[in-house]
Amino acid sequence: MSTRRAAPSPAQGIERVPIRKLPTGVAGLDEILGGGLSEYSFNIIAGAPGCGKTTLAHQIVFANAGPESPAIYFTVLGEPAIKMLRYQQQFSFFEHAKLDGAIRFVNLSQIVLDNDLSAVLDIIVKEVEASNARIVVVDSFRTVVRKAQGSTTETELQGFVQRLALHLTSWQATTFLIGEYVEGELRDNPVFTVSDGLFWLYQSIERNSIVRKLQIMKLRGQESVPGLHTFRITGDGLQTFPRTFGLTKESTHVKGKRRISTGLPKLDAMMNGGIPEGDSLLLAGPSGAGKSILGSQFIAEGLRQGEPGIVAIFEEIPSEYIERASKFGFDFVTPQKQGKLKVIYLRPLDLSVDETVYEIVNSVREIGCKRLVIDSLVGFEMALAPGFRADFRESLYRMIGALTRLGVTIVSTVEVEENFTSMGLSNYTVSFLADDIVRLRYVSINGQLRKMLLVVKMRRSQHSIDMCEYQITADGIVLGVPLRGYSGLTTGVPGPWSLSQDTPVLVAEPSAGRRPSAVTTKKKGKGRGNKRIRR
Amino acid sequence: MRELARLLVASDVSSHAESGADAVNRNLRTSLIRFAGGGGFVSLLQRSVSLASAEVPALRTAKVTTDGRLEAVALSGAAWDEAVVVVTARMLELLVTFIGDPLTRRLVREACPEASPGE
Repeated sequence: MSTRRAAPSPAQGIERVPIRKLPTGVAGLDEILGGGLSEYSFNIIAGAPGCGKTTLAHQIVFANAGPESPAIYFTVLGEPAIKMLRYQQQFSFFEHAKLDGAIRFVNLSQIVLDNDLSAVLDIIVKEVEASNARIVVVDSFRTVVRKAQGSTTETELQGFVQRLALHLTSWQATTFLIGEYVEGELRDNPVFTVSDGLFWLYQSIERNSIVRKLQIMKLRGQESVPGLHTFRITGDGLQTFPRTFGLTKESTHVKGKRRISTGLPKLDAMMNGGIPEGDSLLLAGPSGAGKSILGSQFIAEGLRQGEPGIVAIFEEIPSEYIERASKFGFDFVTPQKQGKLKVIYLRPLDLSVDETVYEIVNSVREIGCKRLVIDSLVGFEMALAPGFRADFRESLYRMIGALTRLGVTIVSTVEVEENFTSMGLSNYTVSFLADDIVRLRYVSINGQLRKMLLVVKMRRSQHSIDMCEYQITADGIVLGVPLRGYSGLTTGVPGPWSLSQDTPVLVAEPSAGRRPSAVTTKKKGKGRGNKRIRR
Repeated sequence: MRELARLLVASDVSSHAESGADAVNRNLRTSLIRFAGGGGFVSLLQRSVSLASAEVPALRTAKVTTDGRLEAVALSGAAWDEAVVVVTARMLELLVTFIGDPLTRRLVREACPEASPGE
């Protein structure tokens, strides 16, 4: 249920002026802007050199320019126009045909060097009027102003910006001024006051990775998505990853409507029929315990039942994962070819959580995925750029929340360090995020390192409290019998279960193996609690 | 590019070399100045003249003015016309090197439609 206040309705009989939204041509950016760019707006694109300002401007120009809505791109001092064309045509959005009149490049360098701001304004006005341009870019506007600052008063500068904005808006142009500004200039620079929109691009380098983020600092007349949004520059230009992950509508999925089989019948029985659909299950255990295998069995079972699946892996390449699964009899090649399975391997070392979720969400929508395995959370953390690891827990929270909104049942594996005094559930204190938790553990019994599984938690269901032995066979994980007659199984070095006659015991109701719904106390002595332990 | 250069020269009437002449079709010159700026055009022209001087030695003593014209070239008549063709061709080849053939031809077509029949 949404608790946000609805926008106020217009007063009786008064219509609001419609503001057409122009597409940016940048994946994800229209969503961040709340629908697109306001027509006739006067905008600033700011950021340090190399962060993508010119590329962003070109994408917007190419997305909107046409014979009926031409664009003018004014170049000033800075990157020479010929160089700019040389590099920008490497991007896929660059359409050569649009240079036949739809997009014009005009160089203002000499005017700026030789004349004052009035002359600059005159030439811009003249060119816009002559071409009837609908999109105007000045790159870089900062060099125009910087050159004038030595000989111009602040008032004159303000006047220039004001007149420029007024004229361009009056001529129905949507304008973009590009500048290498720093945030400290926000307070005093008149251009920021006049602008309708202010888009700030950031780029930081940490160790070996580059992290790029974009913020809509100002946007008149519409609600944008606040905060810093990750973006990447690829062969297609800029691609942004909105923090909302494209999931702005209310979710219609209700968790737990039916049970999803894990692929292990006995585990399903321990979970009272399987995983509630839409739940997020945390599969925790030490290295080699079989987490990935169980994840594969979960996916394989879904494929058997006609449920498409996705595996997001971070620690091995897809071919290795598929090859390993095949050794247990799981054919992942055929479903991939049929479009029923995707094995996603996301580029390591400079990932962002938003980018990862975006990739997964797109894949979920693409194949109608019902089951998702994230293998593993530790590998995921390692794959992130260092700048994103600091708030990993919060990012996981957003990621799990976003993915479960799609109605997907998620199994996330997490490696935990084994020790012999306690049984932790994860390294991240994120167990609370999971609806269900299954723990795998090594136990030392009778000179052997055996494996044990237990269902620790199920948020909306009863579950078995048994600790069952399991084995990894040629067919995957096979669950055995509950390990009875031991105490301290959770430590990994259990001892024999023994009862002293003075120790009261909680005895379960006759439905053995399930969490007791009612308990009774029973004195020790003869009876069930006094069995000898067989070795 | 030599043939395109010839068409460009044929579609233009340039003044005599000694008085400071356009070494490039005037429409193309205007378009390039507009696109690359005066300084950008002058740089391109200087490079083109330098490359063309390998074929036309008389261009070695030529100077490019700040407004993009050639001075002190001891050429006239047919020799001057051929020198202009060579310089224009070198400039077009430079543009192809920097921005590619399709964009170069579009630039030429926009500046001089009559010099690009059937393009």
